Amino acid sequence: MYYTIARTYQIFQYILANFPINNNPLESRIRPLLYESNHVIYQILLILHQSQPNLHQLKQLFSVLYRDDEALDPLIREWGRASIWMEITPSNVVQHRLDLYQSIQKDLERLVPYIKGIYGEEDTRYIVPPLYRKEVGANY
Amino acid sequence: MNWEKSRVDINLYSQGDIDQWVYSTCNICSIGCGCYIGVKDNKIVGIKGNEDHDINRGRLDPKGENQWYANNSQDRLTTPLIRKDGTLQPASWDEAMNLIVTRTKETLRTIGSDGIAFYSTGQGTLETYYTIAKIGRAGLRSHLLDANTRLCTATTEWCLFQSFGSDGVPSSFEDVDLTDTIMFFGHNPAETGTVFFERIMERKRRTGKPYIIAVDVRKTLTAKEADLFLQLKPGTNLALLNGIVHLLLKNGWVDKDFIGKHTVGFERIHWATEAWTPSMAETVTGIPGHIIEMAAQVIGKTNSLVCTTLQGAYQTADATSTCVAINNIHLIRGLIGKPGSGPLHMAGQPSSSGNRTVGGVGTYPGNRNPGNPKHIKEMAELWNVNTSDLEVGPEKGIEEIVHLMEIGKIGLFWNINTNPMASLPNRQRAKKAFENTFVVVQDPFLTETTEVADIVLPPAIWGEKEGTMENADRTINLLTKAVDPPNGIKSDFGILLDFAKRMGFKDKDGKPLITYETPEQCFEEWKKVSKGRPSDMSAATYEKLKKYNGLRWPIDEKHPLGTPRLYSDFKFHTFPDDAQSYGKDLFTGRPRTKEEFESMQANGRAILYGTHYVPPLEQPREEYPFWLTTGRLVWHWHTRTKTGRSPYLQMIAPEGYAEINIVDAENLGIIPGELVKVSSPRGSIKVPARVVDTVQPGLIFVPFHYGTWENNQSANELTVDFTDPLSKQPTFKQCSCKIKPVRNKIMISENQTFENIAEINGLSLEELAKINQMIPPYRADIGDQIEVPLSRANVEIPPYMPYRNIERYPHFSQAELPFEKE
Repeated sequence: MYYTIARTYQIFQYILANFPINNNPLESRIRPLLYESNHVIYQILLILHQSQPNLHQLKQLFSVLYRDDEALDPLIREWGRASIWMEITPSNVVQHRLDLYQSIQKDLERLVPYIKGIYGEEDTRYIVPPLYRKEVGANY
Repeated sequence: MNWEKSRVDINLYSQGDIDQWVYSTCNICSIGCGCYIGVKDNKIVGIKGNEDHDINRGRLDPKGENQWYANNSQDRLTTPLIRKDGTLQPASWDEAMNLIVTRTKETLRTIGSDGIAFYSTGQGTLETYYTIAKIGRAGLRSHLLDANTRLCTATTEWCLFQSFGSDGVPSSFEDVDLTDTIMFFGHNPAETGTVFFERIMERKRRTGKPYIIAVDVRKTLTAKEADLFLQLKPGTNLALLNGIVHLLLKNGWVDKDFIGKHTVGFERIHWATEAWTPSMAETVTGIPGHIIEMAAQVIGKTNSLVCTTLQGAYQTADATSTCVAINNIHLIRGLIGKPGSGPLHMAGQPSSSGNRTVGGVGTYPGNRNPGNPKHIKEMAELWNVNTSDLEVGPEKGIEEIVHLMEIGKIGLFWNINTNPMASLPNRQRAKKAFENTFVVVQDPFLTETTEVADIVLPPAIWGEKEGTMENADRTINLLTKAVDPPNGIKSDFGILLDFAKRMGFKDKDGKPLITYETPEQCFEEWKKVSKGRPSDMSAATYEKLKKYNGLRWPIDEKHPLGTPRLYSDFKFHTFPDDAQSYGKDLFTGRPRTKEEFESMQANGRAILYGTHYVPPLEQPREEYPFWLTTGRLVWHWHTRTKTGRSPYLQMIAPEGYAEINIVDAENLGIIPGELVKVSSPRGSIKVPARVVDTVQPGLIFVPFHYGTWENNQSANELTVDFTDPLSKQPTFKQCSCKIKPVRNKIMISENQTFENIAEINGLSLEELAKINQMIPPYRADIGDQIEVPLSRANVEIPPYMPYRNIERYPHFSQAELPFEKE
């Protein structure tokens, strides 16, 4: 769990070091989400370092992290389309950035079993949005 | 008081007397006009307005008057179709429904519950929507329930959540009859809700009230009647409102007592609008500062105010923030919950708000919060299922579902009574996503969307089914069945019950999940679900809805005849366990956690927000120098599936066009009616040009109704699929484009003259000269190449303005051709 979160933190660090890319209006909406995610992950890492982590605080932080990503997802995809339509950023740069965001999402999906392990199935439903934790459902 | 006199509009075509008039409600726009359906020999032969219905007193919209032609159209589908070997082929209901069930079960096994998405409509009944909610959420355990309301009025829902904690427009049409001032913000009711506009204009003619402010990028028919018209640059709605709020605060035109007692967050508004001086607002919006000051003065001093919004506010940049800014204005002026005052965020469709109310789209039924464990528990008890069966979290919008279709995460997409292949933005992207997915389409006709369907189910239309609808001001109206549907056709409601039965959905006691068999029984169940919630309908019955010609929710023990306006006690739904949503950050769209919502400590008070302007993402530039905006005509509805089958409506407005300002047409040498190619980074269309003064220079307008795959007139070949961060409503109103005429080149031969080329091509000499940028004398020599339009069409479309006594009023000014001898 720690390794996955640390890797995600590194990706955010890289993204923020190279942001904004094309200064379009969408990036003004994306920016606070990136900074909040970065801050939240840092806080999570600090808590995980503690011998007796504050699970209530951790729950709040995870909740915010997933909600940030849920808001980021459509904005990032829009950013990708806009960058190509406006022809302001080379397509390889756009693709690289989209790949980075996708890897963050994958990491967030990988974290779900750990979160379930800490908080249980029912509580996790209110921490992690459905599409990150979806398993094969009803069977008729 | 509404309407001085009734006027019964009738459109009837019958040889001999009809058999009966059957009680119903118009199924076109969101006004909810009462009507009767004319029936002869089990066939619909006409319609007339219900003169006892308060909403319309007998009047009907031209689309409403002509909606019944579709019922009798010869090309209605009468059997299900299944795609075999690449073509749609007739099949039995058993074959079609069993295939859907097989596919559903396979998707549940391989992808999971969120592999199934419903995409329904704003034109159905509450009973159908409620059944979609129950099947989709409790049966299939999916949270991917969306509808074309996403394109229409999702922003209404989100701005109401944000400010008041719950859906439900605070004011009603009764307030419109009482108000001193009305502001139509991005709302053109003269074309999209003619009966509603006629009601306002009739009072204005009689009493001089209300003072009308219109805000629009186009000089619409509504704007022509306004006392004050604010024509702003595309995508600058929020800049204008920030400018107005700046002046309200600066001049002390606020109700400090109301703000202190009934709101939280006032300091945020002050901070956000401090920089928005009239000068800054003028720079961004293009509206002169003194006009903005005039608007602020009217809004700041009026004793009562109704602000309406529609697609010009919703399908645009900063959509939710714009509507929240309007809520802010009402709250800081204390003009809400009082007679003649309140925001009236409109709907486009006859029952789009109804879909939200009963949970077919958006949150759980009865304004329940999908992020609140208590509300999930309530729903589980009401439906007798396990709480773990009901998915948590907010819904996904259609753009997000299209993305899931693109990456193969949707195994079944069930499309009910809507035509997304004409109505979705950037439709070529959507088409590829649909082609990548198993698609069920429920539609009475073959449409652009059935072209990508794997199964087509033919449902009954208006007049052939019963149920209730919710209009734009929370009125629940009844539709009764006038005729049987043609043989082989089932109602939407019936199709869903059949599916539930075949799937074997059960509650936690092993009993069938759905036990009701008729729409009325379904309504009775819904009433229990709604009890105690904002949209409580527990005191309504079909009989009562008919007797009183519709009632506005809540309709409960305390308000047995409904509620004309919400929040008259100034108590808002912002206690954490009352709220329909914890809301989202207004700038980024990030959903708030319960703790974050609690920390706002609204607890029954309305929430004020700072609103921060963000310009549209795609803007005109060298290659695409124009703005493109899309919109509606008075003569057509949505993608013309119904109105295109009315000979009258289709003859008046048979094809798409592009409106261009006279100055731009002059610069580009475009003459009225000639074929032009409009291109954006996503695609291009070819339509005739209308040269007008109603669009501002630099702006092209294309109506969105037209869009078959072959005629290349769909506005959505051009539009962007960017969405509002809160409501996820697409920004149809702003993207970039270029426009150029489509022409033939002719080489002048020895047998031709400039004059006869003009004559052969139906042009005047001046027009041909203009096209070729010539000045008199128009000399063209043998061997010269000249251009002529590839085609030319008559693009004059008559207006519909009964409140002007059917006065013929030119909707646009044709370009003059001022060629002067130098």
